[in-house]
Amino acid sequence: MDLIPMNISKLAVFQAALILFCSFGVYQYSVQEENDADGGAIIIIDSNGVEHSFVESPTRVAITNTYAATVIRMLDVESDVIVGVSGDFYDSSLWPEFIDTPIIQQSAHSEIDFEALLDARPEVYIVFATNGMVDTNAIREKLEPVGIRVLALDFYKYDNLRYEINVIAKLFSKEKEANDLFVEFDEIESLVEDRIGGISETSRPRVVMEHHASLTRDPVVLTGTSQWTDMIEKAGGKNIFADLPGHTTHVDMEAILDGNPDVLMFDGITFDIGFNAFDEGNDCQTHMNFIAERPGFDEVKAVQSDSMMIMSGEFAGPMMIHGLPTLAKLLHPSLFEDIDTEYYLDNYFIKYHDIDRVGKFVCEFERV
Amino acid sequence: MDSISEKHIENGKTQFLMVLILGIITVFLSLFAMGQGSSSNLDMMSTINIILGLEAATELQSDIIWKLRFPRILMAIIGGAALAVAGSLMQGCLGNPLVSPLTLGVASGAALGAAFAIVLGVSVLPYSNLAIVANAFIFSLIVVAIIIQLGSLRSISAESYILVGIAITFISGAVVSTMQYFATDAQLSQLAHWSFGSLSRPDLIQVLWISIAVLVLMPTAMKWSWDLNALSIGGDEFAISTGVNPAETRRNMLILSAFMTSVVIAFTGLIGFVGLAAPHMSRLIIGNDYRKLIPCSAIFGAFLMVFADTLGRTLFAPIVIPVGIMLSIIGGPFFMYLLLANRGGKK
Repeated sequence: MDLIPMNISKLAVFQAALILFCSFGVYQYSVQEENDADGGAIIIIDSNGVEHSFVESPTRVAITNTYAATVIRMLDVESDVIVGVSGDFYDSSLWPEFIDTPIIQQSAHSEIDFEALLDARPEVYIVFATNGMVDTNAIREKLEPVGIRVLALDFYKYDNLRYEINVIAKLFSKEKEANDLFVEFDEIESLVEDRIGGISETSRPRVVMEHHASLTRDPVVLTGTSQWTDMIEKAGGKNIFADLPGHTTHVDMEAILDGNPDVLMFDGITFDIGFNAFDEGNDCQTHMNFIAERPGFDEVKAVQSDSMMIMSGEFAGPMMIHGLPTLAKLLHPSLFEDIDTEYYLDNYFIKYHDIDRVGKFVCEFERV
Repeated sequence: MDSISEKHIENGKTQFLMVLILGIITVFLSLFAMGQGSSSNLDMMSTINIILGLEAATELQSDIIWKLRFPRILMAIIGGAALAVAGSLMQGCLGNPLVSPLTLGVASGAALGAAFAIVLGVSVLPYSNLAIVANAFIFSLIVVAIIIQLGSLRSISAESYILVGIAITFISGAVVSTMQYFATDAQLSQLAHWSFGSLSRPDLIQVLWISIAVLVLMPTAMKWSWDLNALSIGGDEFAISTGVNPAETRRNMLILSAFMTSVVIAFTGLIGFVGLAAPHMSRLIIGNDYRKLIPCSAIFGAFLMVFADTLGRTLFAPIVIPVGIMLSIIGGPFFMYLLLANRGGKK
C-alpha cells in the first residue's frame, strides 16, 4: 500500500525535472533564434518601432500597396525583388512589370490569401504601419513565425516620409539614390517655402478639408494627425480643425460656418480622378454644387470666391512633395503665378514611373 | 364608487400627470436644444429672440436656426417617437421584451440597401442624391415583407417571425459583408459612417415629409392598441376569445412598425436603442395598457432622442458624437438603473 504514494512522489519529481529540462531547451532555442536574428548586417526600424535585422538585402518581397511600390521605383530597386502584389496594381499601364506577379490579396486593406503568400515565398512583407483598416500586429504575429518579416511603413505621412524612404534605402543599399531624391525634395520644398515664407500667420488662408465620408453624413473633416494638415501647413495654409484630436472627426455644420474658411478642400478618394481617371461623370462638380447649397454656405468665403477643390488621392502618397507646389498655388495663386506647378507632377510620373501623366488630379469648382 | 375604482382613477391621474410633465420637459429641452450649437453668432438668448420675432435675424442666423437646427431637432422628436412606438408595437405583438424595431430585419434590410447604393452604385431611384435613402427604405420593407411571408408560411406564432427574422438578418448581413469585403476603403468608410446613425442628413422638406408619414401612421397604432392589449395579456388563445385575430393583428403590427422604422432610418441611418428602451421606460410609468403605452412611448422616445442628440453635439463641440452612439452611452446605464430601481416593484 505504501508503494503507491512513493511512486506518485517519484513521478512528481520526474515530471518537475522534465518540465525544467524542456523549459531550458526552449529557452536555449529562443536565445539562439534571437542571436541569429541580431546577427544581420542591415538593421532597420520600421514605423511601428520594430527592429529588423537582415544579413543581406532581401531578394523576395511582397507588397500590398502602390505607395511602397512607388518608393521602390523612386529608389531604383530592381522590380524583380517583388514576388507578390495585391489587386491594387490592376492598372497595367502604370504597373506593367507586375502583370504576371502573383496576387497575394485583393487590395491593400483586404485579408491576406496566406497560401498564395506562402507560395510566393517572400522574405519580407511590406504593409501599412498605422492604417486603421489594416491590423499590422495581427499580420506580424501570423507571418513572422513562418519566417516572413513584416515591415510596417506608410509612405503617406509628410513628417515620416523621408524616414520611411530611408528605411527602404538602407534595406536595399540605395542610400545614394535616397540622398538624390531628398535633394530634389529639398529643392521643391525650398521653392514653396521661399514664396510663402513672408506671409504672416494671420494672412494664411484658412482651410477646411472634408473627408469623403461627408457624402453620407454630417461633415467629416480631416484633423490634427491627418497628413493633409501637414501638407496644408507646408503649402502656406492653416487647417481650421487642426487642433481637433484624431485623424478625422464629425463636426457640427455650424462649426464650418463659424470658421468661415477661405478654402474648402475635399479628399477625392471616392471620385474618379487621379492617374488615368478623368471624372467623366462630372461627379466632382455635382458634389461641390451640393456643398455650395448647404444651408448658410452661400455666406462662406470659400464658396463666395469659388475656392473649392477636390484633390486626388495621389497627393497624399509619395507624390506629396511633388504635389506641394500645386497645392501652394491653389492656396496662393498670385504668389505662384509664374510657376508651372504641373511640371512637378509631370516630372514625377516621367522620372519615377516612366510614363506620361494623364488624368485629372485636381477638380476646381466652376460656378454655373 | 368602490375603493378599487377610486385607486384606479387616482393611478390614472398620476400617470397622466407624469406623462404630461415628461412632455413639457421634452418641449423645453427642444427649445433649449434650438439655442445650442457651435456658431458664435447665435447664443441662447439671440435664438429665442429670433424665434419669438423679437430680434431680426441675419441671413446666416436664419439659415442656422431654420435650416440646420430646426430640422435636426424636429427629426429627433419625430424619429424618437416613431422608433419608440414601433418598438412598443413589436414587443407587444411578438410578446417578447427583447425585440426592437430593428430586430425583424429592418436594420439589415436598410444596411443592405445602403450597401447596394454605396458599393455597387445600384439604386431604386435614378436620383443619385437620394440613392442611399431610397435603397435603405425599399430594401428594409422588402426584407420585412419576406420575413412576414415566410413567418406566415411556417406558422402564425410570434416565435416564427422572430426566428425567420434572425435567419434573414444573417443572410442580409452576409451579403453586406461580402460587398464590404470587395469594397474600396472609401466605400467602407462611407458605409460605416452611414451606419452610425445621425439626425443631420435630412433637410427641412424631408423632415416634414417624414413627420407627415409618422403622424399619419401613429393613429393607426392607437386604433390597434386594444388588440395589442388582448394579445399581450393572455396570448393568442385569450385574444381569440375576445374576438381578436392574432395572426392578422401580428401581421398588421409588423407592417406598421416596419413602415415607421423604415421611413426614419432610411434618412438617419441605424439608431437602435431608443426603440428597445423607450417602451420599457414607459412601462415603468404607465404599465402595460397599450392605449396609454403607445403615446407615452412616443413622448419618451422623443425625449431620449432630443436629449442624446443635444448632448452629442454640445459635449465636445464642435465634434459631433453620432446620436446612435450617444443614445447607447447615456441610455444604457439609465435603462439599467430604472430596471434595478423597480425590481420587485408593482410594475
